[in-house]
Amino acid sequence: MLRKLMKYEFQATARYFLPMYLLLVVFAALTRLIMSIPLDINRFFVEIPTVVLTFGYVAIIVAIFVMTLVITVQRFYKNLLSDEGYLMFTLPVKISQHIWSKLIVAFVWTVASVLVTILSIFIFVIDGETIQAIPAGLGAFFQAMGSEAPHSWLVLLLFLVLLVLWSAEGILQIYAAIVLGCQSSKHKMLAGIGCYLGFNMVLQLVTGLLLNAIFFTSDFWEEILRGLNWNNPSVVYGAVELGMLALALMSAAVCAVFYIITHQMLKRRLNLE
Amino acid sequence: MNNLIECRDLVKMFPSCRALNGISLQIPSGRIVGLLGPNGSGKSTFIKLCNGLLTQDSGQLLVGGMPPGVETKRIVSYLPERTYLNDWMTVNQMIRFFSDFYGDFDSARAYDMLARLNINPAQRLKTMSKGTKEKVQLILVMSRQAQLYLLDEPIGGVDPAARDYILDTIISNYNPEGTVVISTHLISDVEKILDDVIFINGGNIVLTASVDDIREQQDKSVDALFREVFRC
Repeated sequence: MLRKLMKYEFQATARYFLPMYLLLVVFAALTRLIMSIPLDINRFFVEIPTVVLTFGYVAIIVAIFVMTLVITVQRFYKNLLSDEGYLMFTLPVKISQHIWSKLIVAFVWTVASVLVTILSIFIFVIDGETIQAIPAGLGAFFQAMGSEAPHSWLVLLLFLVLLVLWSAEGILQIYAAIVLGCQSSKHKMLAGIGCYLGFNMVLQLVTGLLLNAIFFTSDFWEEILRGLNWNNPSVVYGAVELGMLALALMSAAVCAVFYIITHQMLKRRLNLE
Repeated sequence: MNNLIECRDLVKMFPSCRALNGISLQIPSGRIVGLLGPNGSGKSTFIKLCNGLLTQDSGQLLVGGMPPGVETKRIVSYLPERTYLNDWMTVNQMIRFFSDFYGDFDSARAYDMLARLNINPAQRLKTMSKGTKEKVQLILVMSRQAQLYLLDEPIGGVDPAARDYILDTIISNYNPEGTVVISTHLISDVEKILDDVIFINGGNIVLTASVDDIREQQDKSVDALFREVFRC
């Protein structure tokens, strides 16, 4: 059932994203083409379109990221908690499957938006020399990583895990804020935004208290950190890895909290108007 | 005879009112039941509770012996009182959607009914009139072989000719083991197909009776009785 839900979720969202991605790539390519015309042919007729196209290109990038956010909110609210919720919540599907399908699809589009933007920047700046230099550059990069192995790979992996968790956290925070906002009978939107900001404050407060409890109430960690030999690279890597792992665990815990809020509210307090 | 819907002391509160005031009732299988009451009497609230779209404040509600959940949604075919379809989809896509999620959905039957009502399955829902959308929704809902059909105002927005066809569809299509609950205030139109009636008002059950009893014992039509009970 999760696969089917995701299929329809992709169908419903692709019709916004794909045209925008195409537009971005086309704009990048056009701008690039115009810029490649030698300036001495006709300065005036090249410069104005270049400015217009570059402006359009940047505007599309901004639009794509705004759209990614808006659609994340809108798909969850409109598809589950407004009239369309009458269809979705009478399907023989678990609430967890609804949340996961929305979360995974929103995450995939977030990643896709970043990747397409990177691709368009490549189209914008790349030339023959750069293309030729890429394999050598990548080779050197991997060789450097290989010589530092296995630590640098672990750091890279942890970094990717962190990115995934942070994105999921951002999306789940939106979902939890929406379901809580919907408990208000009159000002759902305002209540939702209030909850979102409230979550931010609570998160900051908890992080602050946690850091305080760990580092400032006793000298335990300070002494350990001071006692380490920071000239030894594996100590540095070890510290970085541990730090990233701690961040990942914290983010996973926050994700779990937002997920549970969303799930419990949809299960116990679902009241479609 | 098993009860498809069974509720005891069911209470649902809204911020401004008590929508259901501790109602208790049993709806057996194999019946066509009219849930009749004036606007705001609690008809839709009751049906939405049965579908798990609302959560009750107290009391017990069982659908097919289970509290509303994934398993009950499998056996219940629900027509809400509003348009609830994704309006960017075509009818074809909606049919695929329904057959993807409901094992008891019969696409051939849906296409057959669409043809009878002259609805083009390639048309997007967005471009349809309100009445046509309602017809599409009803076709989708009635194309399932469900045990329980919960139809909330199924004929409110469609023309009288289509109304007759729809009522015919309801009686000829539903599975004989199943039960159909129709909520409406257009009583004279549905009266001829009903087996039982439940009168509901202000969140309370006012009367439950079989249509035959009303006709024989009181010598009245359901419509006349309704007007008498709910006289303003």
